[in-house]
Amino acid sequence: MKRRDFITATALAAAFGLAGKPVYNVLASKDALASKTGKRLAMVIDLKKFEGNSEMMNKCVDACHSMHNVPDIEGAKEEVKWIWPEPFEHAFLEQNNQFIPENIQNNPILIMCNHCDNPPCVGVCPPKATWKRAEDGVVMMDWHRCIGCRYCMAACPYGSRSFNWRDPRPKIKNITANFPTRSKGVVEKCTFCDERIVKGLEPACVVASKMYEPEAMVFGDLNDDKSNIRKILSENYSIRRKPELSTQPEVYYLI
Amino acid sequence: MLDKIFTGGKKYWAWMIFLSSIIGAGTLAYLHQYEVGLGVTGMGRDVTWAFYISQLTFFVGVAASAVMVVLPYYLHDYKKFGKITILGEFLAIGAVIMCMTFVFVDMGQPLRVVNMFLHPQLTSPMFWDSVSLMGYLVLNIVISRVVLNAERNGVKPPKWIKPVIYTSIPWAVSIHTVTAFLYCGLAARPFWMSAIMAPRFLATAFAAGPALLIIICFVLRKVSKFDVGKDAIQKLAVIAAYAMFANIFFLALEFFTAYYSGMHHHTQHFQLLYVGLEGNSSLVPWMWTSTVLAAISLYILINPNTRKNEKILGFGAIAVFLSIWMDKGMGLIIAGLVPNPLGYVVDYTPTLIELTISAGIFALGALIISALYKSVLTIRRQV
Amino acid sequence: MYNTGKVVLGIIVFVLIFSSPFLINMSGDTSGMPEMTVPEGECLYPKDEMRANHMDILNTWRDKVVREDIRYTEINGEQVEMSLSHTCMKCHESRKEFCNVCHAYMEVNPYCWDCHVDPDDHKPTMTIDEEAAMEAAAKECALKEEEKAIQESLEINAEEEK
Repeated sequence: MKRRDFITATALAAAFGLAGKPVYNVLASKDALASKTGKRLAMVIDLKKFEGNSEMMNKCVDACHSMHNVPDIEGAKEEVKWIWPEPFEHAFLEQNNQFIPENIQNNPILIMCNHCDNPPCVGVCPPKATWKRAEDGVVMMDWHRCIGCRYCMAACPYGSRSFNWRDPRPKIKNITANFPTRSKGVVEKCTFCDERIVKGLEPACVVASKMYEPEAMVFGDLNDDKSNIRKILSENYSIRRKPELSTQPEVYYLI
Repeated sequence: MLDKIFTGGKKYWAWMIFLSSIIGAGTLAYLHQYEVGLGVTGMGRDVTWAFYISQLTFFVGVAASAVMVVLPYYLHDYKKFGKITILGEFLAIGAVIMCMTFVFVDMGQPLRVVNMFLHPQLTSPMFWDSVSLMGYLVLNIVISRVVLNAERNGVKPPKWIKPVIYTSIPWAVSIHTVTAFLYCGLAARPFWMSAIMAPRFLATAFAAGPALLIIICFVLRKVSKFDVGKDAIQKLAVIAAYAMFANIFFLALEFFTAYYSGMHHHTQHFQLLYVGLEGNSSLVPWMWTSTVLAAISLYILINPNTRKNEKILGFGAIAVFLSIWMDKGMGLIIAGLVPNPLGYVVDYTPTLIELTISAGIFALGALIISALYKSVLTIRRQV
Repeated sequence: MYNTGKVVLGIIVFVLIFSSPFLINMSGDTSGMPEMTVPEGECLYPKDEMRANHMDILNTWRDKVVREDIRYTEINGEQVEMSLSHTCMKCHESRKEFCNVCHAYMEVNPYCWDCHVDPDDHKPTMTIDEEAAMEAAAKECALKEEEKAIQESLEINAEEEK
C-alpha cells in the first residue's frame, strides 16, 4: 500500500465511524427538552417556607434516608446521601451574589438529584446501570448492574451521587425491610421515590414536608398543564442549579 | 518465542523473583481492598477517581507512544529503528495490560465488569476506551509475534502483516484520544473540559514514551549485549524534545484561556495545583517539582551538546518521564475533581494499600516487559 | 515431537482429574442432597421448574421491575408482584431454612441478600396486606394515611435511636 492510499483509507474509516447512529443521537439530542410524550416529573422547593424551619428540613432528609436504608456514615469522605441541606453559597455557587439577603445566606437549601432532562451521568455509564426513564423522566439506577466505576460521579455537576466505599449495612441504624440496602462498590442516589410513584404516592421528602407546610415541596408532572406544579412555576420566578450547563435540571427553587 | 522467557542467568531470575514478590504483595493488598471495599483507598465521595485512574491515563500514553517507533520504521522506512521497533511494541503490550489492571482494581464491583460488554452504553467513552485498549493489545501481540517469528526463522514477515501494522498506527492515536474523551466531555469538570485535552495527552505520551524507551535502552546496554545504536537513541531524544515542547506549549495555552478570561471555575484548579487553594496546598510542591523537572529536561533535550552526551541525556529522559508522570499521573486527575461541584476544597492522599496495589501493577508491567524483552534478546543472541 | 507418549499420558490424566466431578455426578448418585422444608400450597410454577429455573425467573423479574417499571405479572390468571421479598418470601419465610440449604449444598453464593433485606434478620415493618391497605387508603383520603405512615416510621426510628 502506498502511503497516500493508506491515509485515504484511514480518513474513510474515520468518516464511517463518525456516521454512526449513536454519535448522531448525541449530537441531535442535546438541545431537545424532555420528551413531550409521557410524564415529566419535577419538583419545586419553596425556600421561603423552609426558612427557620430546620425541623422540617431534617424530617424530609430523615424520611428519605430511613425509608431507603441510606447509611449514616460520619465524615465527608465516605458519606452517602440522597437529599441533604447545603448553604446557598454551595448549592448555588455561581449565583452567590455579594449582598444577598440574610435569610437566603443563612438558611440551608435541600439539594438532591435533579433528574435532569439531559443527564450527563446517563451517557457516560458503561453498562447502562443508570438511565432516564422515557415514561416519566426519572433518572433511575440499577444497583444490580452498576460496576462501581464512578464515571457518573465525575460527570454529575451537582455532586448528587454517592458511592459505597464499604459495606453500608453496619451503618444503617434501622433497616427498612421492604426496601433493599446497597452492597459495597455501587453508586446510589435519589430516584424520586420510584417505588412510591409507581403506586401513585408522592416522594417521601414531599410527604414529610407536608406535615409542616402544604406547599414547601411540590411534586408533579410538567407535561400536565393543569398540574399544581405548572401553576406554581408560571406564577413564581424559579431558579435552578447550574442551568448554564444545559442539563435542564428538574428541581426548581423559589427564592 | 515465549519459551525463551524461561532461560536465563541468575541476575535475570533474581529480577523476576523480585518483581513477583512485589506482585504478590500487591495481590494481597488487593484482596484486602476487594474484601473491605474501595474505602481502603484515599478516595472519597469528592475525589472519586485518583491514583489508579491517573495511572491508567499515564500508561495509555506510554502504550500509544509505541507509534513513535513504529511509524518512522514502517511508514518512513527509517531503518535505524529496526532494532527498537519490537521493544516499543512490547512496551505497549506491558503498558496496556497495566492499564487494564488499573481499571480493574478501580472498580467497585470488579466481577461485574462484564456488564460493560453485555449491555454496552455506546455513548460512554469508558466503553470505547476498553474496546480500543483491547484492540490495541491484540494488534501489538499479533504484530510483534509475527515479525519476531519471521526474524527468528530468517525469512521476511508475511505480506498480510503490513496492513495490520498500518492499522496499529492510527489505532495508537485513537486509544489516547478516547482516553482524553473520558475527561474532556464532562461539563461538570471545567478543568478537564478543554478541546486540547487529546492533543495534550498525545504530546505527553510522545514525550514520556520515547523517554522511557531511552532509559530502557540504556538499561539493556548495561545488562545485555543489546545496543540499539547511538543514532536511534538520538532520534528518540529529538522526538521526546519536540513532544515535550508541544506539551509545555499546550499547558501554556490552557493557562492563557483560564487566566485571560479570568473565569474563576477555570483558574481555581490551576491555583490548587500551583499555589494552593483555600489553605490546601498539598499538591503545590509536587507540581513545582514536575515543573522544574520539565524545565531541566527541555534544556537537556533541546541543547545539542547535552542531548548528544548520553550520560546527561539519561538524566534528561528520567526528568521528562518523571515530570509528565507527576503531572498527568496525579495532578491532572485530582485537580479536575477539586474543588468539587459544590465548591468544597477537599484533600486526597493515597493510602499505603493503594500504593501497594499500584506497585504490584507496576511490577506486573515490568515483569511482562522483562520477559518479552528477554525472549527478543535470546532470539537475537544478544543476552 | 519429543516424549509424545508422556505428553499424551499427561493430557489424559489432566482431563480425567479435571472432569472427575462431572464424571462422578453422571453416576446419578444424589445422596447427601439436603431435605428442604417446603411450605404447604401451590408455588407459582411447578416444583421442578422452580428448582431448575428460579434464578432465571428472578433475573427476569429484576429486569422487568427495575428497568421497565413493570411490577406485576400474570401467572395462572393471577396478578403477582414480581418481588423476591414480597412474593417468594411470603411463603418461603426463612432464607436460612430455604434458600441457604440448597445453595450451601450446591456451593453457590448468589448476591441477592447483599442488598435485599434478609427476612430472618428483619421482619418487614409492614406486612404486604398492611401495605395494600395503606395504598387503598392513601388513594381514598389523599395523603393523610401515608403522612401517618411516615410519621409513624419516623417515630419508630426516633424511639429506636434512643
